[in-house]
Amino acid sequence: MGEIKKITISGFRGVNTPPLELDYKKGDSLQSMMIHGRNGSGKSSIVDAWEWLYSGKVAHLAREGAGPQSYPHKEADEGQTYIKVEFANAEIGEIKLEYDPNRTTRPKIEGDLSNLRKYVPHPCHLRYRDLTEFVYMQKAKKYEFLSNFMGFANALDVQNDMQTCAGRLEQMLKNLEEDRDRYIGEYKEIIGEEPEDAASFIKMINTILAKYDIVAVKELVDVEASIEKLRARVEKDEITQKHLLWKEIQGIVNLFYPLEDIRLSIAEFHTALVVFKRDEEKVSKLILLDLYKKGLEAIESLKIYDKCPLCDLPYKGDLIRHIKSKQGHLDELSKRRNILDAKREGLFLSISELVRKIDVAHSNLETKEIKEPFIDCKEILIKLKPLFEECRNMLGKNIEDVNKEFDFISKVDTEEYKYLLNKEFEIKNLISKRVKILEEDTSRKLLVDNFQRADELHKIFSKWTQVAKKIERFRKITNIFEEIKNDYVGETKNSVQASFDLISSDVVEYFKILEKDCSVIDNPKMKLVSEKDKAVELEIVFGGDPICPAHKILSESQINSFGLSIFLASIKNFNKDFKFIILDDVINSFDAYKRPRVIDLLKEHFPDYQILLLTHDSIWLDRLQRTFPEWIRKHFYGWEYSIGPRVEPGKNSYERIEELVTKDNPVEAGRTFGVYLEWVLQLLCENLEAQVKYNRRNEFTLSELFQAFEQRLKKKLNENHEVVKLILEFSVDTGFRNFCAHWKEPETHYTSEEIKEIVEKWKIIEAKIECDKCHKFIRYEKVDSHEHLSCSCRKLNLKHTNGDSV
Amino acid sequence: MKDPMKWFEEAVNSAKYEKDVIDEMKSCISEDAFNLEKFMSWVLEQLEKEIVE
Repeated sequence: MGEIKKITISGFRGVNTPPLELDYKKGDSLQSMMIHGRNGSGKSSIVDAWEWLYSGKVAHLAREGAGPQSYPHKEADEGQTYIKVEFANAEIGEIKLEYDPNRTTRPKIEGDLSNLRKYVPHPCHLRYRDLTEFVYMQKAKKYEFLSNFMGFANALDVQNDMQTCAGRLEQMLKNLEEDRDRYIGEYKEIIGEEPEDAASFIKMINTILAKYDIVAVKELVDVEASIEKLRARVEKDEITQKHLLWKEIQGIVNLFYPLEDIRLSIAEFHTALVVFKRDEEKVSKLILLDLYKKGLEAIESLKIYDKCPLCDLPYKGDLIRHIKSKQGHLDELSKRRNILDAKREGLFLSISELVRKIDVAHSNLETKEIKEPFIDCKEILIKLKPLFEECRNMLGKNIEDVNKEFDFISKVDTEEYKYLLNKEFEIKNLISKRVKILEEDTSRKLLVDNFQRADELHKIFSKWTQVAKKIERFRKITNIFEEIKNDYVGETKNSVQASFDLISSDVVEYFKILEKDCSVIDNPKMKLVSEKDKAVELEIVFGGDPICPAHKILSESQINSFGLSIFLASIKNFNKDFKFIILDDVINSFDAYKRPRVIDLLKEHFPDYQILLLTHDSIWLDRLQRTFPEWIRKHFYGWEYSIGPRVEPGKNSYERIEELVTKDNPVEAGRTFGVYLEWVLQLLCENLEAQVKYNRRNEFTLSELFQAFEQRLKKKLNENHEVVKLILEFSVDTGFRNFCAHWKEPETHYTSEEIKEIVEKWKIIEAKIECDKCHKFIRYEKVDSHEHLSCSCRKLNLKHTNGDSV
Repeated sequence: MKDPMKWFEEAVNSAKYEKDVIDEMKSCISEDAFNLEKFMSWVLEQLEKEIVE
């Protein structure tokens, strides 16, 4: 027996350095291992590391959003995060997986990992959380879980992808059908009926073409050319051409108007300019304004002058006042200049816009053959353009450079400009009327309508034909795709069902062991739900009737029995060449009285398997150690951030008590023994069907349990029986009575020596009622009106003192 | 049935399905995935081809 020689884990999750070494060698053989440690002591890091090695990821961490970056211990240096496993199978050899910070999803691999996966096709690790999650999974999830578990992960991934693809194809078909329906609607809106086929479309087009003596078409491909002929007719039509011309003129006029009237503004500007420029001399001195300002600042701090240092003229009175007076005159002039310049700027922009409009209108009208009265407009534009350009050029100068003699008014206030301004409404109205008359021409209207209708129908019909063809081809492809997908899914389902069938007898067998006291439930089954592509439900026979889903009537613990049975049956059937199992705290999902049955199950059906069992339940551990004394035991007695789990050899309750007594810690030794004895007495009372004094709290003291145990054996074996004598002696022992009363209290009421004596006396009793072969305590049985007090294997069989069975 | 690639190989050889569709589906299969983007592109290509023809 033994698949694993050694597992070494370093710098991974809760394990740092020095590496955690799990050595399975014991003497010359490889043994199973049990690790006991409270929650948070680093046990689960072992399973996570194993899953990382086995599958390249840790699924439960990924589900919680923790990717490979969360694998290394925070203090682990590069190269220190790894798991190394030495396999007994030389073909697998040694495999090391090392975290690569540069490629977190692709660890460095030493050894032949693919060979491991060949020998271990199915996961061999199970966590408490896996079982509990399994219980509450929806049937589709259950299917995925079980199928993955049985090695159908790839097949299922492909199935899921094809299912997604089917959804996309369905949506695509819907879109095409929507397009087709839209074209049908558009077609119907024009001629009142839906498109049928090419013949009926051609017939309808020919009806239009016949009105204009265009030769009828015979094939769909000829329709476009005939419609082009119709277009040519429309373009050549005299009325249409006129209509086109007037529409264009209408567009030009709409761009030209409204036209700004600048006559008044320019007259006002010219008047103001003349006034401003009257005193040319003063205007020329505006340049001195800055000089006055700076000069005043300098003179205020200097000596008195006879002449003004700025204008070089004699002055009367105060020099500063003299200069300020001159500066004041210039300030006023400057303000007037700025106002005038703003007017100039505004006029410049207005007249520039007029010039632009004249330019555009003139160039657009130039090529048009227009008649009275619009022919005059062309002439007016030609006359106005140079006059306005002259004004614009003058207004573009600085105000000081604008010539006051320039006659703005005569260039702007012209008859032509007045004409354009006054005729806006008249011109627009006249054009609108002409356009309207042409539009209402019946023959032209009918021709244009028929052309537009034929052209539009042809475009829609072409699109409708194309999309109809696409839909036809698309349906063919999707039908074949569906057929292939269904066959694939069907075969996957059959294979999954075959796998279910393969393990079903083992599942039933294991479930019976775990639920042996519940006779009304039987025959657990995994059942594929036929109407779904992928769904599975658990079925159970309850009182003779099949119940599906099983969780309708099963307790959580019973569902867990179902889950564990499936897991172990799968390991047994699918990992035939790799007899190794990791169970991480799975015992937690079971009621206390069921926990020993897991041991029974392992002992009966997996004696040749190497098991790594992790638990935080110390009482169950005692039971496990009794059944599998050869297993290696380890205790994670603490956890430190920089190191990880603190490891020591695992001890059972008696070994821990002995250690505590040696260290003279009677309180802790007493507490450990109390917990242990309470559990053993509960088990014995249950086994012996002893009557325990009832209390509503459903809690029993050691005294109550021991009393019930004592009375039961006294009744069934007689008080002269060797075992009963020992028990009676034990019960009257003052030390034991003292212990029963005070073991839960923190103050010391007994010494280490007293505890040691009590434990030794109990060990003698225990040795008499526990089988040294099957490691089970005696239990009461009544078969064919004969009563027995014996162990499971019957090697230990206590008889009444008269020699009869009890 | 645990190997999707093998199943498609056999499906092609069986001549049960229209050749161009099963061939394309097979070309979209890898060890653990069906490349639906590739398949959808092929479908679109087929539809355009249909129009041209």
